[in-house]
Amino acid sequence: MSDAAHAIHPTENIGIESRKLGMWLFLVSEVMFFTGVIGAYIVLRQAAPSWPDPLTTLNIPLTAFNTFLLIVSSATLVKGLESARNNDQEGMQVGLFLTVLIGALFLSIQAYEYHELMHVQKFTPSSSLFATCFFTMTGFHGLHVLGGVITMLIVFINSLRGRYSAAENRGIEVAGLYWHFVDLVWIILFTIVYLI
Amino acid sequence: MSSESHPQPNYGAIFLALLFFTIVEIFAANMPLPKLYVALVLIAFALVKAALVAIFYMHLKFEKLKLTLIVLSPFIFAAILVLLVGFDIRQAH
Repeated sequence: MSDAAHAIHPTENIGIESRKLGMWLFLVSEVMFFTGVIGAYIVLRQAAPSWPDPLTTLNIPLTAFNTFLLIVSSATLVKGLESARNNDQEGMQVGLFLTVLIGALFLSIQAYEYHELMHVQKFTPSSSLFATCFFTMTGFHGLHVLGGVITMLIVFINSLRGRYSAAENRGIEVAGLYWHFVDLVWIILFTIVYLI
Repeated sequence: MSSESHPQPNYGAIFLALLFFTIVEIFAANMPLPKLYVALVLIAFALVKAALVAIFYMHLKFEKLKLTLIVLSPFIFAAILVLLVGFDIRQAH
């Protein structure tokens, strides 16, 4: 770009690293997506003449354990990032590996929960309005977790290749923002769908 | 340089707080109280937990104010959506 053109369209810099800003803006759009889904759930639930009690319909102990897993995975991830910033390669790799492992375990338990609901309790997406909402909300979240596990797996492989250090760890941080967001959404969904 | 230097939060304490609130939530959900009160308490706990994740795990506490404002902006619309929808449902009833 010529100097004249650059003068007409100056590069703006708001002082936030572009990859981090990009991820945060993506997460902002994700907030609106999940708000729409949760808003629809509230409307449908309030408008319905009757609604099943989730505490008796759903497997609360199992999903409480899954909630615990996601909370642990967020902790292992921040420990991995902290290790990277301290140039502790082994600690970073262990933290990232545990995050991937726990994320995969979360998905496995969700798959088992779906199997039990659909094949044992005959609670399928078409069996009731509650079931439709349940599978839509938890299903979309599950897909986000799947995306997160794949992303964190790539980050973990990159860590094995020596891509991250105390000086360069933005990849872990940006992918980590997405993973923590997935945890944050589950915290809300667990309360709204399973406990209320 | 891509690394950022800011004081590291006590991640262990955040983890324990999240765990504590989750356990309290599960007990609160089974309390023999009016459903509305239980729902309000549970939503409050969930919001506190979500805030802990955003502030400490996602490091919003250490970010520039402008980024925090960008991140908070959709919550204004989210609150409007949920609250207005709620009022609309009450009127319909």
